[in-house]
Amino acid sequence: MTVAADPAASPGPSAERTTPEVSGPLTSLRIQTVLFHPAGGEVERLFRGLGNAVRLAKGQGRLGPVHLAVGDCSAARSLSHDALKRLELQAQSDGIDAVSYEFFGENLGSAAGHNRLLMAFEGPFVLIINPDVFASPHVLLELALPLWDKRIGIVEARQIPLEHPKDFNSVSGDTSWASTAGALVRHEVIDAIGGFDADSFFLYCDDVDFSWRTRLAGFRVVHQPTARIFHDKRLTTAGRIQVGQAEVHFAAESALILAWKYSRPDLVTRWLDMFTQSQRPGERKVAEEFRIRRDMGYLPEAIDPDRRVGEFFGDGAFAYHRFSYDD
Amino acid sequence: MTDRYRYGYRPGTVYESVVSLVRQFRIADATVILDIGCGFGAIAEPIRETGLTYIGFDTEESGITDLLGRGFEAQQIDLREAEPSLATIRMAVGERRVAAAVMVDALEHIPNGSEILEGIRQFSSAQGGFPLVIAVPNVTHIDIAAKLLMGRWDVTETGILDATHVAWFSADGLRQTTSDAGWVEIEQNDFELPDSDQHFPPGAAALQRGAPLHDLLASVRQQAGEGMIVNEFVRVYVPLEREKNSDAETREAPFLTVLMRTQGRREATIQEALLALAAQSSQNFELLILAHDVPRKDLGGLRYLASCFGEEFSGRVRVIPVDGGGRARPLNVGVEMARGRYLAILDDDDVVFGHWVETYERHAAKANGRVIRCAPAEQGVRPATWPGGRDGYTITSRPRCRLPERFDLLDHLFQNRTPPCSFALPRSAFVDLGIRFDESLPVVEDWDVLLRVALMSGVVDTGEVTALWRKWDKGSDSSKYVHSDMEWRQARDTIIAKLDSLPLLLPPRSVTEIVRLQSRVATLDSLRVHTEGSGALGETDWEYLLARAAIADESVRAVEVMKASTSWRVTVPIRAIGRLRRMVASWRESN
Repeated sequence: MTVAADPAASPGPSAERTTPEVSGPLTSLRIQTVLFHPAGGEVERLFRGLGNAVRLAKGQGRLGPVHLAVGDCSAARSLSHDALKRLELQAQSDGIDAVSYEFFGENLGSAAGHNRLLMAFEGPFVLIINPDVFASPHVLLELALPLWDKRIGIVEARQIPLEHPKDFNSVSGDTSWASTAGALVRHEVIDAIGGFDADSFFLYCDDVDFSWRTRLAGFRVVHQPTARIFHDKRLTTAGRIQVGQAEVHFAAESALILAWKYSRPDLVTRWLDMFTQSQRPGERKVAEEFRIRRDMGYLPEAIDPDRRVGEFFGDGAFAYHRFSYDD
Repeated sequence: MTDRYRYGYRPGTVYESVVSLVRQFRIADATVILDIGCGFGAIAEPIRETGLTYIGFDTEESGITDLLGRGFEAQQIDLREAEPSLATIRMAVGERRVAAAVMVDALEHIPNGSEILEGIRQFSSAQGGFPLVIAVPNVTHIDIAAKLLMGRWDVTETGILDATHVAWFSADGLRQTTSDAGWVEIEQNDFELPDSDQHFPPGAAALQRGAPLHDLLASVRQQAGEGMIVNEFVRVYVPLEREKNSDAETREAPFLTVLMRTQGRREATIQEALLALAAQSSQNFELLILAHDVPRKDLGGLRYLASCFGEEFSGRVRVIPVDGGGRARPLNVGVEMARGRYLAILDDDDVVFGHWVETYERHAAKANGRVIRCAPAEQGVRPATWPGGRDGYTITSRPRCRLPERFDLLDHLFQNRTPPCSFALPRSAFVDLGIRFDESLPVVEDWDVLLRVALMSGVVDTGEVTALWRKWDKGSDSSKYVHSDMEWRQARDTIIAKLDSLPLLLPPRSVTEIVRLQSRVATLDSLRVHTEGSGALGETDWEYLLARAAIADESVRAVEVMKASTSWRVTVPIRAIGRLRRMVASWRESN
């Protein structure tokens, strides 16, 4: 395991040389991503995009020291020593002060993987980002804009080419939850809620839960449409988002757990019945596994009994959607 | 030299074209005209009549002797020996100043034309820059092209395929040869003969105007480049030192040139279009941002947006200002500046998936030269204000794939079924076939070019969605709403009329499709006959008839296109179907 010191927490000599003064809130920044068998060229693209964003923000004196932390849930190291060295050199030339790479040796899932990386987070902000994302050059500058308001705990980037359909307030940016495909999180949020609920969520809805607990802790979650990230999703010729079987499985499982955790027994019952009677073996398996977890007491404690933050629309939307990818 | 080259000066010959250029472009205060490779000096007398001094040079003694006998200066040289020939020419001129030089039917007889041209250019420069008039036969005349397809190459005693020729010229070939020797063309006075000396055998369909085969070949040749009926290129040049091989020419050409039109009014979407391009899995492309009527002061902003993506990306981006014209103008400017093997259009409000370039590249590798078409997807958007009061947009629908996944040419003849961001065109169609976007069309210029290239090159479908075509709701400045319905209809009619003026190359299995359409028409026609005598119809019948009429509607219009075509005449009384639809509506109103 290789974990570099977090210059975001204590700017080292190089940081002091390059950014003596920073205007704006991003006095230092940690960026972290979790890999799981990344596609060829994906990590290089991630670094390239982040490098553009860091170079631009530092060039405007709006960004302090940056540490880019990579966790790897793959079965084998996704980055060879040489590949990592090349990435570090590229990152360094773009102004990223430190790069760390941690091979977990097991598939922790994204929630636990990020929690592992968050253990080294000491600075004011962390940008959580997916590895199949290419950041726009202005993304850091744009994500930082709303941060003057200390009540804002998470600022979410906008995804293209397939924009997330969930609604947001066109004036304030407030939204039900933030996708951690690209989201800037204030350290105080981590202090308050302790990271992702990795015991309950393996792959999906961990960010919905993370956002809702952030809101329960008194912070706002806002969407910043001018902070763009390219999230490499594809469409089928029927106009549907391409998803794998595993994604379908974990999405169904996570939806059930989310309904349970946010005190919606009515939805749990409905969805369990629906999955139990489904023609798809995968959905029947989800229902079966959920019942086992419930019977063994492995489900999270139900919170938000007054339904202050939990929003459930239709069968599986956790915010009001402006349009649907499924209609 | 035999007397076969003893031509006299007559109006309506290539010599008249040459003398006309000499009179127009000669150095005014100089007196000598050099005729290099003069033969029997057909232009000698007309030159003398203008008060100029004619000097002829040729290899063959008979021509020289003849000229001397007519009272002209003339010297024998062997043009295959450049140095002594050029020395003789300089010696003959002496202290006099040269007004112009001509080479009529000479370059095609010598293997070292470039060397001679270079030597004359040096002499011209030393003299202050006298012009050079060149006349050479054109081996790209439509008669030669058509006969090659018939397997014929008829060498003749004189003419375009003279047996003694050792060099052959196209317009581009002549331009390249002269340019390499330091000459730049300033005027043309080509000698045209629609029926050249190669216009035989009589009755061959490939040669006869009005025959579909000839007309098809002629339309291709005409569009591909200059010189279809030029018997001899007659052009005038001046010496010009030029730097060869600019950076742009020597850099390795990318696979794809992306043509991005922008009017600089959609900062939100152009940032996303650039982001999506910079994120492509294949970066084997260049991007031409065609800033159409964008104020000069705003061009820097576009360059800045590209530069933010780093040097590797911005080094492949050019911001090109384009002034005036309609939607087609910037595309044509881009075509001229493109270096990629393929061209793709990505307007500043469309967005692509990560494998847009890669998919084109992968399929072009298997079907090089075809149009590459992806499954179209569209998404509704409308202008909106984002937090902070900034101009943005909002999505109003999920992506939909309403347009056919596979390309159907007959279907496309009826209406456009492929948005511009969903196809890539081989640049060869523009370079080698001379296709350009029709600047007379206010809209649907992309449909017009897609059809014309598809008819020539064919289409390969990828079966993948690689781009999102943004459809703006009413109230936006989208072309859909900026242009009137009348403009859309007129543009469509223009495209149909253009296609209808020429024979069409339809792909295999088209006849089956036409027969199927024809069969539908016949079915509806018999239905009409049946219902005319059946009296009142019930509601179910109305629904049935209207449904059938709706189904038939597109078929009928497609067949109408066929019917009106000069080469695909369908004789069925299909107008009856249109009447049927009106008749059904009328019945319904009266019941």
